[in-house]
Amino acid sequence: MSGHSHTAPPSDPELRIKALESLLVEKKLINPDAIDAIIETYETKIGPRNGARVVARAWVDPEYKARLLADGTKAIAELGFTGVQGEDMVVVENTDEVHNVVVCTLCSCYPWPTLGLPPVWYKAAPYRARVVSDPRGVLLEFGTRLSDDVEVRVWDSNAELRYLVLPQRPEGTEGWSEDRLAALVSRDSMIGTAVVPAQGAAS
Amino acid sequence: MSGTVPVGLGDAPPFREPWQAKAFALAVLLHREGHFTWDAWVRTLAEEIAAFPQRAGEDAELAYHRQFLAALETIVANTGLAKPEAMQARKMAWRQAYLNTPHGHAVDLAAAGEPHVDEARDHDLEPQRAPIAISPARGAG
Repeated sequence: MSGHSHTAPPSDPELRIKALESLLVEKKLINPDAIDAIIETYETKIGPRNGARVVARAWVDPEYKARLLADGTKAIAELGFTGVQGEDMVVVENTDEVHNVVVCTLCSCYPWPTLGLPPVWYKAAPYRARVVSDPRGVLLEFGTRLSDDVEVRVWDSNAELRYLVLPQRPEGTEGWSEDRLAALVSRDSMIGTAVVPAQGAAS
Repeated sequence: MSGTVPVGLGDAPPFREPWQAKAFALAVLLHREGHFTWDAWVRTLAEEIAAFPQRAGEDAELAYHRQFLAALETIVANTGLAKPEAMQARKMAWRQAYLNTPHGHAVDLAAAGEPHVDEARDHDLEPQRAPIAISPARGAG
């Protein structure tokens, strides 16, 4: 025998996860195949494209928009977007007078079925604290400058309910199809740290 | 709390390392199987985040996943799914399994129990500049 005949153990967190996983599988508390299925779903299938479809539908269909604002969970489920962290959805509408922005001040509550998993900054302490104390300043850091006569409302998502912002339909999109509109809607515009920019030469 | 919002990390993939994805999946699965409510999970995570905030030398993402893993271990212990001692013992067993497995081979937990033939030899190769054991003097006569 020669050389290193062992395998270097991985990092501490990796060992802890291996410990948890093997204990839980052994006790038949979880099915190991389900782990990979969940990871794949959230890495590749669920994301802000879902939310963009909700927004685009609301832009073209006033009746859908009314249902969405009245009962977000139900209206979003109409498009097939349901699941963990999507059980109690409240949709808040941006207007000429009001701009909405969403945070989870305590941790990372976020509407997974419509937006996927949150970006790092959403989970970071500076955003969680400062968007409450200085929302306009934080929005500026995202390059979003709001007029002084617009009221900014900050909504705190939590375990019971999560907020989704319905951004304003931009100018220059009259007559656009739902698909074309959906492609304009960014994740950040549904969190409220961005707006959907006006389209076309007119802007 | 002040500090800049890490806007630039907006488009990073949700998981930087596989264990982070696994921790996430375990939390979702255990909730889905009814072992704890989402409310209980969020409370546990929020408490961990409040008690052990981002540290110097740690970015926001690493901090979050550290807090997430610790919260997962806490809720697993609090709901009686596994004891903290069992998690610690299992972690050490995995570590030993790695050490016992020849490089290039798949690591199986069963290997934790086997003595590592090369370990003593590896130790011998290290120059020892201090006694490996000392039996204190008992006094003459």
